[in-house]
Amino acid sequence: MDFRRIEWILLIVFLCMDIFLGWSLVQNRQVFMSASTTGATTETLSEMKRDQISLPPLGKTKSSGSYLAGHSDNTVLQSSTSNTVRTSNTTTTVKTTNGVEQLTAKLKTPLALSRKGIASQVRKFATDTNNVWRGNQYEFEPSMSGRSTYVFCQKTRYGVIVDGHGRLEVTVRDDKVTGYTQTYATNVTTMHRSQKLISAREAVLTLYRSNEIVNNSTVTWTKLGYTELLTTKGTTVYIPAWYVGISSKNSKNVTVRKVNAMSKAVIKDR
Amino acid sequence: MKLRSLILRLLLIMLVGISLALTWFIWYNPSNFARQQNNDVTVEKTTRTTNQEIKRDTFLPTGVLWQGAQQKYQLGSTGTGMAARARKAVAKWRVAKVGAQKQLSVAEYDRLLTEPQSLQLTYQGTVSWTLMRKLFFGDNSKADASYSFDRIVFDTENQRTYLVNDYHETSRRLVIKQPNYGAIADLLGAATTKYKVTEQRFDHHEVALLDQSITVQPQTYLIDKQSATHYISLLMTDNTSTSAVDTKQIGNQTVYTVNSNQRLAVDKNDSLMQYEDFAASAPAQTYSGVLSSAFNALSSLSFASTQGIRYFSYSTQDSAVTFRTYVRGLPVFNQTSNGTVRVVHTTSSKRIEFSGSNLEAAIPTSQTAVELPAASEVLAKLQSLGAQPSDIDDLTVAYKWQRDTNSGLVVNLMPTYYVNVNGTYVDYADLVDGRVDITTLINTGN
Repeated sequence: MDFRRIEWILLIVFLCMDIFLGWSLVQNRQVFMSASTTGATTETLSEMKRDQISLPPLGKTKSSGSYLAGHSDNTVLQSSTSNTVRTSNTTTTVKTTNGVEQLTAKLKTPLALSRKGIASQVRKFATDTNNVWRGNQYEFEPSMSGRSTYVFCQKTRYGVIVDGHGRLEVTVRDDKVTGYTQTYATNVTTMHRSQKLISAREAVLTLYRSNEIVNNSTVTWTKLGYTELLTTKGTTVYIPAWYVGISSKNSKNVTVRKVNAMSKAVIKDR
Repeated sequence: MKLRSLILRLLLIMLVGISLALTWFIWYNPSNFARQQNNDVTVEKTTRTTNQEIKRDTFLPTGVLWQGAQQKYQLGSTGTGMAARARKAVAKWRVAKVGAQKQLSVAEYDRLLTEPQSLQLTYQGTVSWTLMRKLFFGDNSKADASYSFDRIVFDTENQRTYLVNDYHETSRRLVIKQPNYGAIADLLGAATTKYKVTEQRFDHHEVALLDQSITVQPQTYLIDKQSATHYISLLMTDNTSTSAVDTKQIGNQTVYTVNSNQRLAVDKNDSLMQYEDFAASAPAQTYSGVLSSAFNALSSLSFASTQGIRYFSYSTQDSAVTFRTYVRGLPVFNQTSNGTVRVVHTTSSKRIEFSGSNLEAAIPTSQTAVELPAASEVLAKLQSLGAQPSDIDDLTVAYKWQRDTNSGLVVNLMPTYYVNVNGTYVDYADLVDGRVDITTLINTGN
């Protein structure tokens, strides 16, 4: 094949390519906006079924919530842990990591628990203010807990804080409570008027539509609570969010996905 | 044959060049980025308060003054603003008649403005009685009159109410059935801040100047940011059909057009947006017509929070109505170059200039208050920089919108003075530091 022939072939190829690119450019200029409502709920649910995604019963109720603000420069745990807790069976250290004050407590003598009903015994321990400062302001969260770590979320007047800003984690080893870590959000007030939040069902559907739920998985739990949006000038702003626990059918691992309950946007981990 | 082979080669090189260029254009075409966004935008317009209530708030007076025996005060209150409280106080009043228009002499005008024990509500821009009688005085006021004004004087001692036009120095007395001047006088007690002021005339406007220095706390707000896609759905498409949106890159702006009648230009740097509708008909050329139509344009933007957005000015020269956000009684500048929203309605088109970033919720912080000097000091400094009193059209304590360096979701409002030099509002600190040259502003005279 001589060079001339190659040139002719190339010429025709590039001519075709240019025609295609030119047409593509013109087409690209137009972005089609369909102002239609996103696919009907029943359709999406049946799609999810076809994708082998199991769902628990999902609530359709829409509660209300708003932005909350809390102090971020905290030294409460450092200064307020009462004498009862300090002089009792625990050694405590307080450290601030990433702007969040955290208390780590170690029981000098681990508390032995009877084999049956460990969870309720841990709850009794944690919510007793003689053991944990303001322990009665936390509520047990079974979905976030495991066999060796029991998670408690801080309750406020306006809702529960589900992220690391108001959390109590109790460690259990060999049926004994060995210690706990604690964070506490102070001066939590509402920042804005209340508005309607999305329901658990809407949160799960949003995750599915954003391709956050893979095929062959199970939605194990949903929880509505407050999580940090940002911190500025000594104040942390919290937004209501749906935390959704998803586990794959093959493994026991649970991944947690979050959806902003006001704006419906999926919250990506930074 | 040689020529033919040369032509062939050149043609080939040209085609290769064209394909590279087209690839580059497609790659950098802004609609590619738009595609990557979620185009399923369902805009939920939650109407919590009715449109009429929002309209009444938007057209509230921006200044509340109390004239005591010898001293005038600018009043402010936390929570519900003073102007809203005043409107509530007159909610049951019935305006039976609007008296004849009176041209006041300079002495008469000064006496009216310094009437002891009077509450005075001032507007930054001019309003008309036709518009305000329903928005401020409520449905009980049937008396209509053709009159434009920018001040309402409640003389609690002599129990009289006047509409005043500061520009022309005219007034009209309102005859009211079942007034309650006691409730007006009580408003003084409801004020949580009382700044000593003296009103001075600048370019046909009365400006309240601070007699002493004050301290003002900076504010930090969470902002609601919306993209161009949101506004295209909101303003340019109707909910029934699928519309084709053409996108083009012109300099720093991305321009979206629909049907060659509607156009949205977005500034990449500041998310400043400009919407134009070339098929809009002009409103009735009365204050009521123009301001109501501008308000409708503002409403069409469906901001997450309309709280604090007030009517600021109407320029008949430019056919432009400006709305500006007020926080704790002070106007916010630097959000865009022209207030929060600016509506220009000509005979053949409607243009709305606004920002994709607007205030949503105040973040409670405890920031150190900033000290602002007395107005006399500011005026003296301006004079030393070369500005004559005639060059100054307005002077006000204000908040300057400043983007937060750490978070794109937060804006800081810093207290400062804003000066209007021959029609342009500028930060006083920028003039003092030389960041803005005052002589160029002085020379672009009005």
